[in-house]
Amino acid sequence: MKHAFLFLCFSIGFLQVKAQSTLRGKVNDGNAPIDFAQVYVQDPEGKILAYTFTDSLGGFKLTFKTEEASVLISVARLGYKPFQKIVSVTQKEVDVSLFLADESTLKEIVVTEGRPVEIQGDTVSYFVQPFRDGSEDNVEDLLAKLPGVSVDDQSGAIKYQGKEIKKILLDGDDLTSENYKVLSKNLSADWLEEVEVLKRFTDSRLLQGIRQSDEVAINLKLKEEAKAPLFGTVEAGAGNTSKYLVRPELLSYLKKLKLFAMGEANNTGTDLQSYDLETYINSQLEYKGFILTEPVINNQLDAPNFLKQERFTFHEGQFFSNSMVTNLSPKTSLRAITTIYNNKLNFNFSDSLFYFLPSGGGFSFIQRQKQVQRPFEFFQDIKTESQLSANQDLIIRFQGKRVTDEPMTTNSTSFLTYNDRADLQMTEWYGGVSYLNKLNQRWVNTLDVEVGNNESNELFVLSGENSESDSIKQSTTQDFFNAGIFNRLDGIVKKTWFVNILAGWSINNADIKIVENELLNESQGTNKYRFNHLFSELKVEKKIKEKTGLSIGGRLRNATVKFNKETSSDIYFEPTAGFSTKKNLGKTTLKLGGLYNIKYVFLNPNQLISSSLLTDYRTVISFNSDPNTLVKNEIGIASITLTERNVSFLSANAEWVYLSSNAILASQIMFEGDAVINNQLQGGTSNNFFSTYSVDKYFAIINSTFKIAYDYNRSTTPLKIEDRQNESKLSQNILSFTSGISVTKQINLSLAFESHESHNKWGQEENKFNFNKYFSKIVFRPITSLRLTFDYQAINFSQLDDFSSIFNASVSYSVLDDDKFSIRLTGNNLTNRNAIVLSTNEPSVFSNSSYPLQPMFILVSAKYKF
Amino acid sequence: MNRLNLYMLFFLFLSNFVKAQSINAFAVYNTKLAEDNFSFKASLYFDSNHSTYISKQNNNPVWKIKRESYEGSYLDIVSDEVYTDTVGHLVLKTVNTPILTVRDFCDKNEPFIYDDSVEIDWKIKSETKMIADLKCTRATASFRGRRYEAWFAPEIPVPYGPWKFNGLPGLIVKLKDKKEEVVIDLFSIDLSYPGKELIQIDDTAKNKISFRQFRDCLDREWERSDKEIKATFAQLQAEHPSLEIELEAPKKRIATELEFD
Repeated sequence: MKHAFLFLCFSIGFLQVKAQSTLRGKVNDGNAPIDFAQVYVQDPEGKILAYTFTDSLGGFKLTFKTEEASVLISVARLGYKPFQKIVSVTQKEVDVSLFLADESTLKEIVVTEGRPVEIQGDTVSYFVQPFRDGSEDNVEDLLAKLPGVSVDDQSGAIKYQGKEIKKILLDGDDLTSENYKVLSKNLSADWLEEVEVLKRFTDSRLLQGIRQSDEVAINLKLKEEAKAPLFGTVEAGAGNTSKYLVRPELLSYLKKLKLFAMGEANNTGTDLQSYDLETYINSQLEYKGFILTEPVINNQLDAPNFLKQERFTFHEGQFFSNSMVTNLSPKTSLRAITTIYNNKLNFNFSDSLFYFLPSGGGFSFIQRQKQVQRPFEFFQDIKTESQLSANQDLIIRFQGKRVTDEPMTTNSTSFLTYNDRADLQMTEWYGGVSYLNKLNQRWVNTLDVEVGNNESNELFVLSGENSESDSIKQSTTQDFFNAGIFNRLDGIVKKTWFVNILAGWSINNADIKIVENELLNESQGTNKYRFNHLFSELKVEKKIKEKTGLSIGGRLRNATVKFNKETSSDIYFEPTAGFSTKKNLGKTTLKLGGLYNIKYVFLNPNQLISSSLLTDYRTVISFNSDPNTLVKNEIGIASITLTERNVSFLSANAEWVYLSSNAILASQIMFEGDAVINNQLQGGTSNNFFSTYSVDKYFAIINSTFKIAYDYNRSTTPLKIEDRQNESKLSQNILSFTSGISVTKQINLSLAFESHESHNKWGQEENKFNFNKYFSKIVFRPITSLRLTFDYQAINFSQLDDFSSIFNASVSYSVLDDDKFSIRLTGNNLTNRNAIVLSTNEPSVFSNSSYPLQPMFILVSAKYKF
Repeated sequence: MNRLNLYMLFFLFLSNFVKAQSINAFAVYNTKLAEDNFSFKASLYFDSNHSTYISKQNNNPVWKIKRESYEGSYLDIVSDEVYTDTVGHLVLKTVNTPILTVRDFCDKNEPFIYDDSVEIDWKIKSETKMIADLKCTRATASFRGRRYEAWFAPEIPVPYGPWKFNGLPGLIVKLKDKKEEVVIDLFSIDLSYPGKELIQIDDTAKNKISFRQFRDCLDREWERSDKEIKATFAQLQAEHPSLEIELEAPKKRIATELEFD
């Protein structure tokens, strides 16, 4: 309005003659002259006619030509309020006084004109600054905000366009291997400058461009100014109700060494176990035919998958991790990963369970469980990588793990009370040698020799409320040995045919001993299991004009299983076929893909034991399977992804997965103490359909990201309860919306909404419920050094008529520049809500569970960056 | 009034005479000069009197950057070797003088300092556009053999910009040359950046040379490395005759500045 008025006045004295004018003047602050102030004059159209900066005495002189009778003079200097005035062109002098500006008028701007997302070849680069609101504690918090990237709230699994990543690299170096959560959950987001998504990731230099990998990795690029021989953070805090937090983080970037070490000790609920050691074992070894122990006892209680675990779990623990890569010589590197986890967890919740009964209707009862767990884990991984020559690499790797836990539970049902305790111990190690030989520019041969052993001992003691005499003991030991040799040849024929040939042999030798089983009053010997596995695989992919790929292949397997005195041997063929095509439509890339595959999975040795085994205080499980039993999984996948290379980045993907799983056999008996015996048999073919759709869009102009996702899952499994056979049908619809909006330069708003619908049907019996999850977070930065964060989460279940909500707030103040030293006050569960009641549907059972929440506490913490 | 009191009065007068409020600002640019294969993050610290442009800081004297991307089986390698150190490449400017003080490298472990007189004859146009929250005005100029287009923000009242570009009535927010070999974009700016001592360069440093000498040094270094690359390439091709290698080597040194007065 002020400008409109100025220009209205301006247009009154309109002259047609273009004359040269000179305007002099002085700029002061009301007292002293102001040097280096910017002075310019504009015509009514806003065109700058002349400009200068004041001299050391605050003086200026402007010469300009104009047809106008008056011009607008603007005077400004950093730290002062700008000045504007219309002056007549006949006016020769003007003196201007500038006044100091409020600090709040000074701006912090993120210019998004420079693209926040760039795509080059198979690399997508995100410049993280536009996506940050300052409240991100770790890499995971930041990744969740990037369009195209999603982070699972509960598991921490990271996906790019629906595909889970394999690794996170730190400035190109693989410090943590597949245990990428050590980085994503623990590395401070403060250090990050850029995140690269590497599609078609291959971590071997010799296989680059030859192996047609479909794996995805993330490369974190740290700020250049942060990198130093030694840098990091240390955070410590204390609060009421004896809460505490200590968290040092150390990084080292040296010429020959890169290191990331962190430790954490707290009782605030923040998740400590930030790694997933099973990923490597499952993905790499099981495919090759290695068989790993599976626990018999399944009595450890978990927090539900509705809110972050830290909201429910009461624990007091410590976690330490050190990951480093060092160059022993110019051609040999050594990587070492060590993690130690120690915790004491308390669970305390009650369930209202409803079981379908064959006679119609159901059976319901209430159970309360109190459990203390004391998990301890130690993990060590050592890997050396040597370049024997320009075309040969040798990789030697060793992994060792020791896990113990002593869960103790008091279980009360409507009928009686049981105490149980378990002593669980597991030790495993694996070693492997890989020799890669690039035979020529188009062929690479990889020879792997792997050997490993895992051993577990489980003791389970169940007793009545006050009676030691009622106690039942069960003790099992499992000792599995695996060894294998595998050879893989990757190559390119006539530039467009990609071939891989894999052949391997593995042997497993497992002893499962039931030392004691008082429940059945049986004396058991050692169950001996042998698995001899020979396989060969061929896969051929044809690339057509670099845009389309067609693949076909299969795996031929010969498996001989010997369990005690029974032996079976058979040959299986697992075909695979796939296609992918890419089309560029201007700035948009559209990809279509499809895959069909059959896989056979052999039963785990302890699923062949005919004896009845306790798995928890109220479940006895027994199998009646012969060694030849195997599960046939038939998988069909179709996917569409769309990426728009615009300033406003768009990523969309849709995936449909059909999985048919044949011959799952399990027999369960509800424990007699419940006064009802309920035999169940799951078997036949289970059909599962999963579909997921997501659209993520970043709007540069408003510096905001919006994500919409929809999942529909349906599974049908034959289920026999007592003598009545029916199909158990479970279906789930999940719609979610997430947004990160920059409301003003000071205010960022995150909003999320999730709607779940769950339906469970067996014969005529059915259960249906839906619930909505709401999340909102406001980050307010009135000044650069102060940040206020408020977050509110709520769940509303249709059946429970309950609106459970949690409210948290924090204030963070930077005492030193660049957040070098900051203080934070965190308020958890400020409304002090006691518990949340959640519903779940599983085949044949529906439950309402009440989980106690972490009570309100206030924590004051200080963080120092060095 | 004794002599001490007279001095005090004089200093009191002087200190009021020129008053500069100590508020610093900090801008980050994505900068790609013609000689760069990559875009580098660069910092511009400034107050009303001075600006210091810092880029390419690194712990290694030879900062090797490589990006490998595959399109199917075809490997595309783009690499840069930047001679630098932890201080980095600097351009220092004081307002109202055309002389820039530049710290740059023509060889490993050998930072040179030279003065460069830069007066760009900008033509301010009437077009404006919003870039983020900043209202920017277009300007064009020819500078040392290239035709540039710049967008500057009059509301940030300083004559500074990235690298050697300066002299507009407002901070330069975006700049590119006609061939788009030089592309610079402002990435972020903080106008309330806490006061920080700007880097000063000792004018009497022994590694101070003339701008002409520095260019000659760059030419010599380029000729040496060009011969080395071609020799390595020939050797590689001889060792692997079946390998299809294409070397895209320029015939002369690629430079942002092509002509000099």
